Amino acid sequence: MAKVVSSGNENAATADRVLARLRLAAIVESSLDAIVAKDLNGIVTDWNAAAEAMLGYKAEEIIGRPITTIIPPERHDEEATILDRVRRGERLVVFETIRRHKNGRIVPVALTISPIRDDAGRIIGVSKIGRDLTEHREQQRQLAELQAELIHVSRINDMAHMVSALAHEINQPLTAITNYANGLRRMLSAGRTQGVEQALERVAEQATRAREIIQRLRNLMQKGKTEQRPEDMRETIEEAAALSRAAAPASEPPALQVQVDDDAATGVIDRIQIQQVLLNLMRNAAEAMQDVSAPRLSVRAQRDGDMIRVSVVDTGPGLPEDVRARLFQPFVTTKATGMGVGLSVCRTIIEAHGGEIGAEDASGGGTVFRFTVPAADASQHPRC
Amino acid sequence: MERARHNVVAIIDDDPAVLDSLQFLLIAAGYEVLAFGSAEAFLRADPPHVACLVVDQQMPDMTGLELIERRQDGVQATPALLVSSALTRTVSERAAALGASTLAKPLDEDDLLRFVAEHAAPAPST
Ligand SMILES: Nc1ncnc2c1ncn2[C@@H]1O[C@H](COP(=O)(O)OP(=O)(O)OP(=O)(O)O)[C@@H](O)[C@H]1O
Ligand SMILES: [Mg+2]
Repeated sequence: MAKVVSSGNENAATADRVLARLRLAAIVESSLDAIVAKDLNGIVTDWNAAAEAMLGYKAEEIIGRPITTIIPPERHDEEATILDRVRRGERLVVFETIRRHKNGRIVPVALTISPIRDDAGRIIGVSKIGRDLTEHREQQRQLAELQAELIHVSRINDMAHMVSALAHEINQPLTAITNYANGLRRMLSAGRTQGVEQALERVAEQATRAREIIQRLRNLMQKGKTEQRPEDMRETIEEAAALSRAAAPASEPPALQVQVDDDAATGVIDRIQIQQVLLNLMRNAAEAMQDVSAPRLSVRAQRDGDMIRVSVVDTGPGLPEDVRARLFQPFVTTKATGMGVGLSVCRTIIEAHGGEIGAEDASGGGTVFRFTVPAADASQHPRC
Repeated sequence: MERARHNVVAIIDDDPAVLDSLQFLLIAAGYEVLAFGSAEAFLRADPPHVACLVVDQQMPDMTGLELIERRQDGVQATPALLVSSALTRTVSERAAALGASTLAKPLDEDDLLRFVAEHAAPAPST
């Protein structure tokens, strides 16, 4: 009697185990993540439907074959290292890598790896849960593209703001050239030649000046790919200032002071993008100081650990209370014709440089915007 | 001698290249020229016997209009030509109210010399 009862219990326990196993198998099979198991020799032992969808092999094709079938050759080392870590008993390893689809396509995946143990607790294999990152990567790429587009559009917007100012900048050398040419014609028709050569030299100089302004403009308009490399901070700032100077809305452009400390002379930056940041900050400052008498703008570059900190200080009325908290968010503006993208683009650019941007009240009234970019000789100046 | 000194044309522009080229042109046209890099420099020098002024509008410390206004306060107004590469309606109207003429940059040679010839005679050629 007792035996029967005991046997019935055993049967019930076995049935439970079988049920549990079936349930587990159903879960594994219906998972949207690829679930793959292999033994310690790297031979595939389990392969669910999602794995088939992700990598193209049917379970019956791949079970019994080495896992390296789906691992690109240059990643075989990585696989060995992971196996080592699991054998040493590490419970969970999560990392991003690539796998190869049956059709040869490379699939970016996020893997979670854990050991499989037998009833005695010995490690007998490895399970891998894989998530296809293709779509995620594509979204990231699209986001980066959109950001680049926004930076470009905002730059065009900056240009539009500066068109009349730049017309003035280019008009100056054109005026000089016209005057020299007319004077030269008069001299030559009167048969005088003294000073002709010198005047012609000046004409050439002024033509160069006009060309440089146009070149600067063209550089800014360019879409080109971004490149961060060592650049002279003073030149970068002064060029941006030259572009923005005449862009002041009032007839009275702000008095400008530029100071670059010796240990902040070279930054690792995308010059055009940082000039775009400077132009935005200087334009905002000039716009803020429109009704201020004796407007002053100062730009200072200082060392700050591994970084160079650039401050743009104005003597305007300060930040409007209602935008303070959302300053760097897109489409926040208090201006009738503003798009409110200036500062959000600044932040995107500075963050792409590994820096930070912020604003606060300037000590003597007005506003100071500060941003950081990496210094070229960062290693020689350990942050303390 | 006396006549020549009354025929000095004073030019005021903060852009050194524009200033130099304007001086070059007016000298080539036969005038005696005094050149100043700012309104202050001109006021400080206060040159006598100036027949007329050619003044740039956009200068950092004192604009061309402000300078012309200052000169209006004096005993006698000196004829002035205000030049600018961004001649707005407001600027032109204010200039007209002060009795000054205006001309856009780059300067049309005929217009410029017509104005100067109205107020100054070329220096006797040497
Ligand atoms: N230097 C400053 N002084 C005072 N307020 C400022 C200053 N800089 C920015 N602001 C405020 O922050 C807001 C957002 O600036 P942001 O540059 O992002 O957009 P915008 O200048 O309004 O428009 P856009 O730059 O697209 O033409 C401005 O509308 C203004 O209210
Ligand atoms: Mg702005």
